[in-house]
Amino acid sequence: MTSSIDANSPVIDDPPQDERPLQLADPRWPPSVAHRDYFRTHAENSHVPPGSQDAVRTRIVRIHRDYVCARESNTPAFTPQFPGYPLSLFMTEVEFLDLIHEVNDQLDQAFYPLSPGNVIDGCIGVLTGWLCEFMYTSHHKRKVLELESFVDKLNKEVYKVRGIKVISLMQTAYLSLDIQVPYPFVRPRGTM
Amino acid sequence: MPASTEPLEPAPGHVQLLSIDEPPHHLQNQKISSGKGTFCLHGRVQNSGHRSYLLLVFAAIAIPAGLFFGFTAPWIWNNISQALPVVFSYLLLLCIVNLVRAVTSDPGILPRNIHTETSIGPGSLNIASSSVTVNCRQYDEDNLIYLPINYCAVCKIWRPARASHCRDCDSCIDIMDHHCVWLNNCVGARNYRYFFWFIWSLSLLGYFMSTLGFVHVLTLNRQKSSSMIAAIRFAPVSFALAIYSALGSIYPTSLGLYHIFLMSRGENTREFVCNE
Repeated sequence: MTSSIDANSPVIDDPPQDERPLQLADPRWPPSVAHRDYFRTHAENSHVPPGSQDAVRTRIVRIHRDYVCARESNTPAFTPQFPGYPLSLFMTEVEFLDLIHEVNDQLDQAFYPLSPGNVIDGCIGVLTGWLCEFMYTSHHKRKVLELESFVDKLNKEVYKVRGIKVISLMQTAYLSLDIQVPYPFVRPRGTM
Repeated sequence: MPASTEPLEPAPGHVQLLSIDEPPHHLQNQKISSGKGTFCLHGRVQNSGHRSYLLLVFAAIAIPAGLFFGFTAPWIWNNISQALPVVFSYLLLLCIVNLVRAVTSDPGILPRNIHTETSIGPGSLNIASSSVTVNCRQYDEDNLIYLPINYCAVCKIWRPARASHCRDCDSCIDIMDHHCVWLNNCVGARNYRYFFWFIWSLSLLGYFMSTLGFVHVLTLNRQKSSSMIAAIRFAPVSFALAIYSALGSIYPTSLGLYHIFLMSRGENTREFVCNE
């Protein structure tokens, strides 16, 4: 299947149909154009300038948000469904699940409104007219920054040698977990 | 949300690991934002870019407060209690701070162009074609429910579950409540508490001011043992302020109670109104 955007974008080697994970939620809805776009295995890198070297040489594996597990509705979380190829070349399913569960746990700690840190921050904030934000960083902000540094550390220590990178979650606004993989889908020399 | 974008710089040598090695360049999102907002103070303050009633709202709070400090507060300070004007100042401070925060803070504007490269163009009028049904948590095994996830062709993102696109702010807002005309800003996930506490501190301010104004007039009435009309002539400003704040606190109180009702249902204004 070729890309539908323009003639300059690379030919995407979508795997044969039976290798793709089962995606359809509601059997009443036939697969549509939108479904193919939402559940695609890899997509254009939107975090780099279009047409640049990076845009040609990288693709994004997008992990969308998850609404299945029971959690507060304001808490972002990502689906633990492993997208298979091409991510399977760079990461095993166990590693992927570890990453997803760790990220989801940290997000839960940050966003859960009834955790003691958030409740105290809220009460003190209301009573002081939010001036407490100049005094200390709130629990939520601290946890979010911890998550950022966790992802950063993981990128530097584990993923850099494999050639992949998890795009900063603050940058994607927790809309999706984007994993940048090199295109064509091969690991850098010396890491096979 | 302020975040940094990383423009490309060709890294010397390593061709494969181009965008992994780079030092981040901090280009502020607000400088390249294509929504309709206006930004001040290096992006710390933002508002929707239309003509607004903000000055009216601010005047409706500040001018009576000023009159209160000029006319009623000295009498209360001298004759009843010194604590009451202090409490009034505290409530006024809370109200103003929450108003300023509600007006200028980011309601949860979702960044654009995160999910590009879809076949859904901006000219697509068919809503059903840009919507995906996703698995969600089931509450009842007999009636299976699915969640529709919509693609916003303007912002080029797959919009999360409770988010919504605001035409006035021209951006998708996370857990959007409503676009408040008085604040000239959307009320969304990151903004809601400032909006809520503005409403309630305004109501409390109204009750407080009206109580103190009536106390002023009624105490004068009893002291001088004259009729009510004559007492009003002694403290006309206090009486006027009392009536004004009693009437003026009706709207914030009803809005505040409505939002407490919505909280009890765990819903947004949008969700309640659209599903009613």
